[in-house]
Amino acid sequence: MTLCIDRERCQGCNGHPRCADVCPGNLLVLGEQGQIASREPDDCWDCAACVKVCPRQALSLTLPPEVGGRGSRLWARQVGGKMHWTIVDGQGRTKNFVI
Amino acid sequence: MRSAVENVSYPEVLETDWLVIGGGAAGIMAAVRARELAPTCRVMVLEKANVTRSGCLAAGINAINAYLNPGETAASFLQYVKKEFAQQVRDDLVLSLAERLNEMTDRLAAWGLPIYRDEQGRYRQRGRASIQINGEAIKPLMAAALEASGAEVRNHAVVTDLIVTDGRVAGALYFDLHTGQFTAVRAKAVLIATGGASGIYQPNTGGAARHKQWYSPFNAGSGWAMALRAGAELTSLEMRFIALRVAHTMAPTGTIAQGVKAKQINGDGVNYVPNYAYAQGKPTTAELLWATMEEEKAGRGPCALDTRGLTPEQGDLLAQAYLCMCPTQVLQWADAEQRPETAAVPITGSEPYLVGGHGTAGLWVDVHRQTTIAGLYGAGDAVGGAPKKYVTGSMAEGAIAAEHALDHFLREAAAPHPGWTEALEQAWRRARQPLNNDAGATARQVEEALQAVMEYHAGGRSGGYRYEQSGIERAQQSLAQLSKAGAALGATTPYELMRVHEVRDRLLVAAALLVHQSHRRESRLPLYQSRTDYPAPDPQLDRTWLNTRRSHGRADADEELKLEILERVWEEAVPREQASEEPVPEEQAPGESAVRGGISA
Ligand SMILES: Cc1cc2nc3c(=O)[nH]c(=O)nc-3n(C[C@H](O)[C@H](O)[C@H](O)COP(=O)(O)OP(=O)(O)OC[C@H]3O[C@@H](n4cnc5c(N)ncnc54)[C@H](O)[C@@H]3O)c2cc1C
Ligand code: SF4
Ligand code: SF4
Repeated sequence: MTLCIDRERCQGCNGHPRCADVCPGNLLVLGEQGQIASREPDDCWDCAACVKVCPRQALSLTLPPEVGGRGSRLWARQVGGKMHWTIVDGQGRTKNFVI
Repeated sequence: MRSAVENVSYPEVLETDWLVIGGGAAGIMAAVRARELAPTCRVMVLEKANVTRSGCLAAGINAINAYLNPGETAASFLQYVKKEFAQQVRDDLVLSLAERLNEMTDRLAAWGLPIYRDEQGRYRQRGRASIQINGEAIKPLMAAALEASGAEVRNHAVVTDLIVTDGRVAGALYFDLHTGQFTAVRAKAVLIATGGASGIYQPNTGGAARHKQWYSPFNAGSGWAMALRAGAELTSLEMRFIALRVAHTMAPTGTIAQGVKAKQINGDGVNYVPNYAYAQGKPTTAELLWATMEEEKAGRGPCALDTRGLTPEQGDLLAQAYLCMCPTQVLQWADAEQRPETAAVPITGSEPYLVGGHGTAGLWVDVHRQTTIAGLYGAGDAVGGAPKKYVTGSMAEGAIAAEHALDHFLREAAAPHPGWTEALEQAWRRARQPLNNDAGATARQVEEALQAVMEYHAGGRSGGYRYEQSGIERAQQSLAQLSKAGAALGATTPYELMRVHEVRDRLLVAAALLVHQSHRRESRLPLYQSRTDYPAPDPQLDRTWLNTRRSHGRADADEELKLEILERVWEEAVPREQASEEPVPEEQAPGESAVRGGISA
């Protein structure tokens, strides 16, 4: 489980989920409640394509216990021509990058 | 219980001129090139995901790794590639793509790709053949260029089979991932640009990290399986590619090794690279991997790239470079509460892949990128014989294929395709067959069983990547059983149908790989192709290419498809004796006739 889905934030993009549209593995799908879910969380490549297109910052990446598991998280969003990255480590310390 | 997908109706038939399978770097360029040379040419791109973020480039990249920096020529690029691959490359393919590398780079710049520049205003060099870019958005930019070209793009279209009639390609069959509906596309020429194959060997880390692989886990070798079923030839599958990558994240290491010139150290902090002898003095990429694995074997691991002592600004620049290509590397640093300037970055060998963009495995093509089937072309990671082509070389191959197809097929009136109906029926029967099977094992179970067989018997990481004849034969026996399990897999949704086909394609590609491994009785490339029972190169096999193709059996039943091996001897267009770093005079560049004359089956 490396993709985190924030159920408070996901509103399903009015039935046309942007994240599901771009996932290179076609892993994401709208569930019964109109919210996004992964068909097979273990199959995520961590490419962050879905994270970048979500208009509600409902998606983030984390590391599974096999390779980390201390709870750090990564968000990204496009603002104008720049990508804004936020990385929060297990202690809650935040680092931002604008590229 | 059956879903609506069971009741799919007979495939609708569409018409186009140039049909491109796979909307990655190679496929997009092939479509754009055909449209710009012939604005009336109908072009259709079928992509199983979405061209905006599909394939290898989903997360972006931070360098263009095939570029002729000042002082380099196509000929010097060829010599560099030959040194890296023990001379075993197709000169004609490498030279023809090398001539187009800078043109492709300039195209990317024109499409809006930010490329860093030095004080003189030239592209900023990173390594001998690479330049630094900000490529996070390279794929969306390519997709925008594709859209602007006017080509028709069908996303979420999973191609399962080529349709070949009378020895000539006639089109392809795909199904839509949303509806499950099958559609056949009739075309004058077809391009396979589906990338290489991951998932043949066991991933370094399993469980929830099973797809923390370097190569795209969604490139399943489908184009190769289609080509084999259709009668085309694959070459050099035994020449696998194994990457030296950041441990756990499998992030590429060039960013650090070339970007900040970090040294490779072992667990004792010693730079081990000078402690080994290399065939040509300077280590090749394969030899660097070999030296690292030797250190691990001797108990002096883990090896690492020594980034300690970088300034915090340099550490941040590294982090930014990784965010543009492999963001989990930066997440991993945060998770471990480390920064590159305070802790060396651990490296190790990846699981083996088959990929023509880095190694030499792939479709066997002529200099125009046409396969042995008329009208069927290949480009990019799907094509063998021309390693180290990467993004720009893949694009160049797409352009070369489009130009030849235009001159020879696309401007002709559509061929009548006798036998179309039967060929389509056969493809459709095969493609929808899993919908009739009852649910039993899952695609993932069969895939993991395949990966375990290859890992333990056919040169996986745990055996130091080496193998021997008895192991290959044991793997062949296991695979015969697994192919039956693959043939029994069932699907109820379009997504499951795609997964079943991916696994079946991997099984077929693995079977072909084993035929290659069994046949090459020598060791030619450290770890990429290395045997314990024949540990030295055999000079008699210099310039011998091993190819597989279908010999007989039902094309609609993979487990009954029989493969045969061919030895093809290919003369060097630029003989080794003349292997200088100087440009090759025009008359020595390989012409078509020289290439054709070099083939003997
Ligand atoms: C992580 C990573 C980092 C890299 N970094 C660099 C770098 O920094 N610099 C550099 O120059 N090169 C880099 N490369 C190499 C480069 O990305 C590839 O060589 C290049 O993208 C290959 O292009 P392609 O079109 O052959 O394959 P891809 O770009 O992978 O395209 C193949 C396409 O085919 C589609 N497809 C597959 N099967 C089917 C099917 N059955 N039906 C329909 N569609 C299908 C896939 O979804 C995909 O979109 C990197 C590669 C990887 C994996
Ligand atoms: S893009 Fe964001 S809001 Fe839209 S469906 Fe996906 S997670 Fe939900
Ligand atoms: S990170 Fe990439 S592979 Fe994983 S769910 Fe998102 S888009 Fe798909």
